Amino acid sequence: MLDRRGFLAALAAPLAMLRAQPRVRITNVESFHVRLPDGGQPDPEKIYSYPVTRVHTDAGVIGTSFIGCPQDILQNWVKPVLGGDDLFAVDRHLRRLQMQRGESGVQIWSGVEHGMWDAIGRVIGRPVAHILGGVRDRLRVYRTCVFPGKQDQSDVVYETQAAYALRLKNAGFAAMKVRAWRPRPMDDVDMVGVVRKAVGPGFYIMLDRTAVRPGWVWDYPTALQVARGLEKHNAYWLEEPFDGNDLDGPARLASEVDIYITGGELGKTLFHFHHFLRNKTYDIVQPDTRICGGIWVAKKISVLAESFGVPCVQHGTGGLALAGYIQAGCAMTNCPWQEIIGGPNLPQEQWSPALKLLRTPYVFPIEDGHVLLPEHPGIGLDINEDALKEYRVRG
Amino acid sequence: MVSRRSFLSTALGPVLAAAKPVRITDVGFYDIVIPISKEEAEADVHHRWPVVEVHTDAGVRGYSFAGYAAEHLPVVRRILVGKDLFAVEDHLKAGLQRWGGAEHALWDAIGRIAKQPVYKLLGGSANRVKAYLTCVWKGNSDQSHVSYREQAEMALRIQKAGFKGMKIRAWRPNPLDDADACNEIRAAVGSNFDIMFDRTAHAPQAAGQGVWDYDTGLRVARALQRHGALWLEEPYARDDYESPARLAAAVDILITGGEGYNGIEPYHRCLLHRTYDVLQPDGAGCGGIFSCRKVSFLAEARHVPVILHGSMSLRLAGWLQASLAIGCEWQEVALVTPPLLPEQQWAPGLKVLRTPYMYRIEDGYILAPEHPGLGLDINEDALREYRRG
Repeated sequence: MLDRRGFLAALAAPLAMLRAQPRVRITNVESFHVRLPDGGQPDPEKIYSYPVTRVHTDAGVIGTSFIGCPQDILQNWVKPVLGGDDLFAVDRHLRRLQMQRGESGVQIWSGVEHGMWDAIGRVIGRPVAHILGGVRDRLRVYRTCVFPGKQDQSDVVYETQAAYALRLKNAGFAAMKVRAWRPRPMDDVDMVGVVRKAVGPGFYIMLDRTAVRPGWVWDYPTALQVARGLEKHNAYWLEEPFDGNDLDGPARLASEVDIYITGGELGKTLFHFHHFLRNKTYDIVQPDTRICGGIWVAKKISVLAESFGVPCVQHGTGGLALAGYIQAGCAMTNCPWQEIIGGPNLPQEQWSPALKLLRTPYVFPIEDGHVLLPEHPGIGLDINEDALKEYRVRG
Repeated sequence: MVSRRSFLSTALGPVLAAAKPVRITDVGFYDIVIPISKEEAEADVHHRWPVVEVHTDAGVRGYSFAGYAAEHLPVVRRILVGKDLFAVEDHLKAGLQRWGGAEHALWDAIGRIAKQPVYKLLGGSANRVKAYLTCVWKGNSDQSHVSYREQAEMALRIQKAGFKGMKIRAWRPNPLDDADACNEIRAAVGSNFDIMFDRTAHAPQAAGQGVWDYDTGLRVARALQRHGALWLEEPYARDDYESPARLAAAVDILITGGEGYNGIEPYHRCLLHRTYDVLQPDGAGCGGIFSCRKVSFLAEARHVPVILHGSMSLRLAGWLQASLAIGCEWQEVALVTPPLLPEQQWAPGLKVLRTPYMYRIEDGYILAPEHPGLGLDINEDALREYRRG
């Protein structure tokens, strides 16, 4: 009688090999730009130009993200680590890349990381969010609007901001975030009062101080006064009232006021967010999946925040780069919102030029003030390869 | 205007399949029993496994051998049937957190649909993991009837088979006796072999013992350190987050633990208190593969290693995927009944597989399975043949 082992070795082993998917290897990574037609009259509030990063594999699948990677980084750091290696070993790749550049460098290859996930999703035929926990199929959008004019918005009349908020509300969106950069901090409180009056009680208004970006940092009494004023107008949160590296100031403010104090968009790696969470720095942490190290790192941060009982609401972006953010957000248990940043138009208008790159009648499906998890595998963009060639910027 | 869905189904359908949700249509719990001889049964050869079987509307089934008694099936069915297979976080929240072995079957199905082993979908940190064998001799649970010589001989046997480490109980009535055992084992195996000790928290109650007081733990840890042991596991009670931290600060030998917790909250607490040098979530007990991965994120933020509490035979498949995804340094194989080696102890399980091995083990490392899902190439006909109930 044929013994079991001999029989199986002869028959089952090749059978088993047939059933297993061969290892998918990364063959090349490239980064370039696309420029989309503007009909000779570009709208300053629309996006016509994108960096592109593509991860090629031996499975015939290409992963694409619309986040760039500098050529020298690509040639000297990324390709030597990824070239010929297993597409799926994201954690290992990120660790090796981080070894080379240190914590401060992690955002440099986030375009590659998003591209790897796009390729992984395409290979397995699922949206990336599905294998990272698959929590939700839509995220409520809040629109962050920077109005044309002065950076500090001091030349923007309150009524303009109120009218835009009303437009958002009528278009089905639930929330708007604007800058709190005006030279006299209490002016922004007055502005929120005007917006609140226009939109009524059921609309979320967030204020963003953006840490050091206004060029000067509030002292504690100023922040407290602003926060108290915002509370009166039932604003939802005040973001980065102090320096982004200040672990204690926001914690002190958060313990003193009821309005949420949020921040963290410039945090890199899990460790940075651990410091925020250990120090109770923010009521809500806001990792940016382009800056913190990628989709995978953002999910890790979300889990860490979950263990501290802290919501993790991702920082946002405007155009096609949003694809990876949506995947990360839909895989987080504690991320009810997605920020979409732009000017005083609707997201659908802002990214409409990108329709030329896609085979879908939408860039990201928006429904009832939510951005939906796209049905397409990977990070969800159904790219028209011919168009990508056509609009590629040479040289 | 063409609606979004109809546009997708007409224009895009053939190009790339849209990600339709995969629904869980049914869950089954049953045992398989593989006939073995009386001698094999007495030697503790494994032959009975509780199976979890998950059916989906994608035609794919997922299996786990870390199952539960059939009486618990209604609860798990209520959590899963009709739901989206991929919504793992939702399932955990809905109660699957308590049924980690069933979660393994979901990942088996997910991996089979993706045509990838699960560890690759969750970070793919390693392609192999070093195995250590946890040996518990039949007889007295405190192992007081086992001579140091016998333990040293088993260690040699394990070492000869290529493995790099062995863990035994630290349950002997005189706690320092286990340090003497360590001394004798160390003399036999030389320096290139790791020896770990497991106090198992409250479990020595089975031998009529209480939980050690702090000083006993300190004396044992120091003695073990002198004889070159790698770690001392769960020296105190599981709800004591402070004493292990105090001990870990007082000695150099690693103080480990964490197998008894469910969900990520207790691990968060361990990390806040620096309770353990190494966290050891159980691959099923903590909530399953995804929960292990989440614990690893919390631990990574503090540079604390994670080494999963172990399992054995067909059950081990899910543990192995989690270990490989995380990139754990070790995978515990437990419980090994001397003088058997793991592959002898789990041999009957091969009857439900189409491979001539359960896991490929080379030079003491378990290699990453290439088969999709949990990595076992299951013969479904054989499952039916050996099914009971």
